[in-house]
Amino acid sequence: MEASMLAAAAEAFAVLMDPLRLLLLAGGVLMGLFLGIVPGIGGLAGMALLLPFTYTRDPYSAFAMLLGMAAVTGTSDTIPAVLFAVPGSAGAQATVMDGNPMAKRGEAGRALSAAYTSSLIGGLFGALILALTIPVLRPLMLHLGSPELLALSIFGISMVAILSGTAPLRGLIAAGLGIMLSMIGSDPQTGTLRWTLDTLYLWEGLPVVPVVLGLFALPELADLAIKRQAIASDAKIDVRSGMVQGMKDALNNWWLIVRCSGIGAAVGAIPGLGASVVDWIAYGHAMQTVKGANETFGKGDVRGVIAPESANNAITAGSLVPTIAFGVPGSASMAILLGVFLIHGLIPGPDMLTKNLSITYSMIWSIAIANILGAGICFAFSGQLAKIALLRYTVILPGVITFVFIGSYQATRDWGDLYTLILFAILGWIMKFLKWPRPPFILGFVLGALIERYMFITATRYGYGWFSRPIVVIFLVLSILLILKPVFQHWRSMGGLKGISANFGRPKFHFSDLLHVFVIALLVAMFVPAFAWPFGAAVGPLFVGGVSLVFAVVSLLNQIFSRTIVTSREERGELQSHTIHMDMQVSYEEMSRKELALRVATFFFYLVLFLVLIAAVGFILTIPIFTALYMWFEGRENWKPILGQAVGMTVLIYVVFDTVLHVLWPGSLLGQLVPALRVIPAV
Amino acid sequence: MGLYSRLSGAAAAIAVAFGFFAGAPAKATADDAAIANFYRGKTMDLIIGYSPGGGYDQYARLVGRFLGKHIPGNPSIVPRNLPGASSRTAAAFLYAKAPQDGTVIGTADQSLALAQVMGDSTLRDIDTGKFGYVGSPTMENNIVITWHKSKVTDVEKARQIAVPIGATGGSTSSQYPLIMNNLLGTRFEIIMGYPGGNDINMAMENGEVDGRGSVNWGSVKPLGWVDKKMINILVQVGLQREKELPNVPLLMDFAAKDEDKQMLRLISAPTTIGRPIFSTPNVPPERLDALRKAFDAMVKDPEFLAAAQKEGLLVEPISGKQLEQIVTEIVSTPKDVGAKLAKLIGVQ
Repeated sequence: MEASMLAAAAEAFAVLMDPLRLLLLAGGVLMGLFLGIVPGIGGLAGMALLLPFTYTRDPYSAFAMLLGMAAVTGTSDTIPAVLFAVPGSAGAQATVMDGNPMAKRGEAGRALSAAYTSSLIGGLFGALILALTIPVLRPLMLHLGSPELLALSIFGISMVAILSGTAPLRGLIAAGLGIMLSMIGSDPQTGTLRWTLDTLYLWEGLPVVPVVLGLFALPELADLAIKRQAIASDAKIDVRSGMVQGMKDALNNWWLIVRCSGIGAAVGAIPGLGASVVDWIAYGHAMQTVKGANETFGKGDVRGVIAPESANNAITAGSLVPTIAFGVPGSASMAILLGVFLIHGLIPGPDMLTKNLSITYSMIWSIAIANILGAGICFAFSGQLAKIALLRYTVILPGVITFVFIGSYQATRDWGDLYTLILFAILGWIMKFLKWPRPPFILGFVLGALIERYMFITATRYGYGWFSRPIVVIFLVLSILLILKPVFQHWRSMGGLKGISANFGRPKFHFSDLLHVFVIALLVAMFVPAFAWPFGAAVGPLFVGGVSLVFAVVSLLNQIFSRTIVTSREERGELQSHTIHMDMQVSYEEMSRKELALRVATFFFYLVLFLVLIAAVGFILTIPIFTALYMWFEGRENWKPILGQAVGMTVLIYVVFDTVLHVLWPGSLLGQLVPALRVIPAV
Repeated sequence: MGLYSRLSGAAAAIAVAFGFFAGAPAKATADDAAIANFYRGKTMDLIIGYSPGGGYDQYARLVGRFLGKHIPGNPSIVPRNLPGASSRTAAAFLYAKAPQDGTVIGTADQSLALAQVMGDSTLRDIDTGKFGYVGSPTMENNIVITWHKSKVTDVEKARQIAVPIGATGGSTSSQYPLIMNNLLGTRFEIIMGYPGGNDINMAMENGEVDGRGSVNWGSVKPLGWVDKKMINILVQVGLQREKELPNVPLLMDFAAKDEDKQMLRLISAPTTIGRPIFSTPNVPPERLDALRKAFDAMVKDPEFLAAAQKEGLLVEPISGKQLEQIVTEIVSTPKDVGAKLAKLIGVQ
C-alpha cells in the first residue's frame, strides 16, 4: 500500500473519531439493528428514512450515519430468522434453514452468537478487501463488461441445482417460474409492457420485497399459528454457555467465513445482484464444500448459519465498489447513497480514489466500526432476545404481521404491494407444504431479469465473439458442472434407464399434483400472449416459458409414474437418499386434516382481514384493531398485554412511517364517508 | 367564475369568507389575506414520481424545503415519494385522485406531454395541459455524446462510420439516436437495455460502446468531461443552445425539410420543461397564482440559491406561465405529426 493511501486512511480515521460523527454513526447503527430485526423493513427503507437528516451534515457524517445503518442490518436480521424462522431482511432467508432448527432444539443462544461472530468477521473482511483493492478498483471493474456480468449471473442461477435439494425438477420449474415472473413489466429492449394486466403497478415489474416476504416470512408465521405454540417448546434455553459455544463454532470455521465473505463482497460488487440472493449462494457453496453437509444441513448445523451470515455482512462493502468507482449503484440502497454523493457535490469515479480518497476511506472505516458496534450490541442483548422464542405465538404474531404488511407497502406504496404479498404467501405456503424448494424461485426472480438484459446487450454488441472471453469461459464451465451434478444424481437414484424401465408402473395420481397443473396453466397463460410481441420482448419469455413448460410436464409425468419406481426401489433397498430437502421440515402429525385445513384458513382469514381493515379505516387504525382482535380471539390474552402491544405498535408505526417517512397512505372508506375524520392519520 | 358556480350553500359561504374577489386587482391584499388564511397551518403534499436519490427527487425536495416560506400563510410541505411506471403513477394520482384545492403539488417526467401527443396509451386519459403548472427550478438540454476514443466526433462522421451507442430502452437515450438514424442518416448501432445512465458511462469507458444516446447537460457538466476533452458532444437537444455550449449544434438544426423540422422540434421541446413542479387540475385560479408567485420569489431567494449550489444543482428557472405555454404548444401539435414521430422512435 502506498504511503499516500495510508495517510488518507489515517486522516479518515481521525476525522471519524470526532464525537459528533461517532454519535451519528452509532445512531445509524442503532437504526440499522432495529430495521434488521423488523421483518421486511431493511436497509433500503433505512436509507430513505435517514436521507433527509444528512442534507445539513458534512459528507463524512452523512456517510457514517447511512453506512453505519446499512452495514448492520445483516447482523441483527439473524434474530427473527433464528427465533421465528422469519428472515429479518432478504439476506437472512438462508439463515432460517439451520438457525431455526437450532432454536427449536434450545440452542438459540449458540446460533445467534455464531451468527454475530460470522457477521462481524464477514463485515470486517469485506471492508478490508475494499480497502486493499482501492488502487486497482477501476481497472478491475473495467474488465467487467456485459458478457462477464452475464456469465456471473448464469453462474449464480446455476446454484439452483444445489438449492433444489431432493427435488431437482421442481427446483428447475420454480426457478423458471421465478424468471418468468421477473420479466413482468416494461421490457428493457422494446419497452413492450409484458403481462402488466393493464395496470400501472406492474409496469416496473413485481417488487422484490413483497415477493420475498410473501414467499418466506408469511408461510413461517402461518406454521407458527397452525402449530399454536411457542417457537422453542421446551423451556431450557441456556443462553450463556450457548453463546460461548457459538463463538467457538464461528472461529473454528474461519476458513468457511473467509470464503463466504469473499462471495458476499463479490456478489455485492455486481450491480443487480444483492442481499436477496447472496445468502442462498453462500449457503449453496457451503452445502457443496463442507464435510457431511448432506446429512446435517437443514437440520440445525451451525455451519449453515455461519455461511450466509458472513456473506450478507460483506455485501455492503462490496456494493460500494461500483458505486464509488463508477457511480453504478451496486444495490437499491446504494442508489440512494448515490444521491448523497450528488448532494455533497461529490462525483463518483476517479476523484473518489484520488482527490477524495479520505472520504472513501471514511466510508470503509464507518463500515468496519459499525460492524464491531453492531455485533457488540447484539451480543449484549441476546440473552434477553433469545427468551422471545418462549413467548406464545399470539403475542408475537400481530406485531410481526403488522411489520410484514407495512414493509411490503414500502415497496411502491400501492395496494398492489399488499395483493402481491398475500398471493405469494399462499404460493409460498403451498410450496412449503408440498415440499417444493423455494430458494430457486428467488434466484430465478432476481437473476432472470439480469440475464435477459445482459444477454441482449451481449448478443447485439458482440455476436458470438463473447464466448472466448476468459472470465466468461471460466464461469460458464463452472455453471455447467454445477448443473449437471444433481441431474446425474437424480438419474442414478431412478436407477438409470434400466431402473426406470424395470420399474415403470401404473400411474398414481395424488391431490398434490394440482400444484403442477396450476403452474403449467400459469405458464401457458404467460406463454401464449408473448407470441404477439416484438422479437426483443418475446424471445426471453418464449424461451424460458417453453423450457419451464417442458420441465413442468416432465416433472408431472415423472411424479405420476415414478412414485412406483422410487417406492419399489426403496422397498428392495436399492435406494438410499443422501440429499436434503431444501426447506424447513414441518410435521403436522398431531392434528387431523380437517383441523389443519381449518387453521390454515383461519390464518389466511386474518391476513385478508388486515387488508379489509386498511380499506375500511386506514392503515394506522388497522394496527390496534387487528392486534386486539387477534390477541383476544386467538389467544384470550389479558387486556393489559393487548392494550400495551396495540398502543405501542400503533405509536411506533405512526411516528416512523407517518411523521418521519411521510408515507402516502391508501385512502379509506371511513375517510370518504366522514371527511372530518381525515385528521386521523391514514384515514 | 365557472369554478365557483358549482359551489352552493354553505360551501359558497366559506368561499366568500376565503375571499370571493378573485379577478379584482384592487382587492389584491384581501386576496392575499384569504390565501394566507387558507394555507396557514396546512400541510401540503409534494408527490415525487420517483424513488429517493435521483435528479427529480433532489430538485423536488429542494423546492419542498423552500417553497412554503414564500406561500402566504407559510404551509409546511411534505415530500412523498410515489415511484412507479416512469412517474405515470404519480401523474395519475395528481390528475384524478388528489384533492384539487391547491394543497397538493408534485413532480413527474418532463416527457409526459410529448407522450400524450404521440398517443402513448399508458397515459390513459391524462391531459397534461390541465395540470396547474407552478414552475421548474431548472431547464437543461440533453446531449448526445461519444467517448474521446471514438472515431465519431461529430454528426458528419456518424453518417460515415457505424459505432455502438448505449441506451436504456424506451427513453430519450434510445429515441435520439433512432430519430438521428432515421432523419439525419447517422449509422448508430443502438445497444439497448442498460439499466441506467452511469452503466452506459462505464460501458463507454471500457469500450463496450462508443457513446451514450442521451444525457442531461446538468449531470455531465460537474464531471468536467468537457474541459478534460473526455467526450465529443455531437448535438444538443433543446429549443435553444446552452450558454456554455454555443458551438454545439441543436438537433433540430439538422432538419432537411419542414416536416422533419416539425418532428425534431417536437422531440426537443420536453427538455425546456425541466423538472416541472405542478399541481392538480382545477385548482382555484387565485391559489395557483399564489403558488406561482411564491415559486418565482423562491428561485430568487439567496438561501435557496445557496442550497442549490451546495448540492451541485444548476438553477435556470422557468415560470409556471411559461411551462403552461410550452405544454400547451406540445399538446396542440397536429395528431399526425405526433403519430409519425411515435412511429419513427418506436413508441407504441
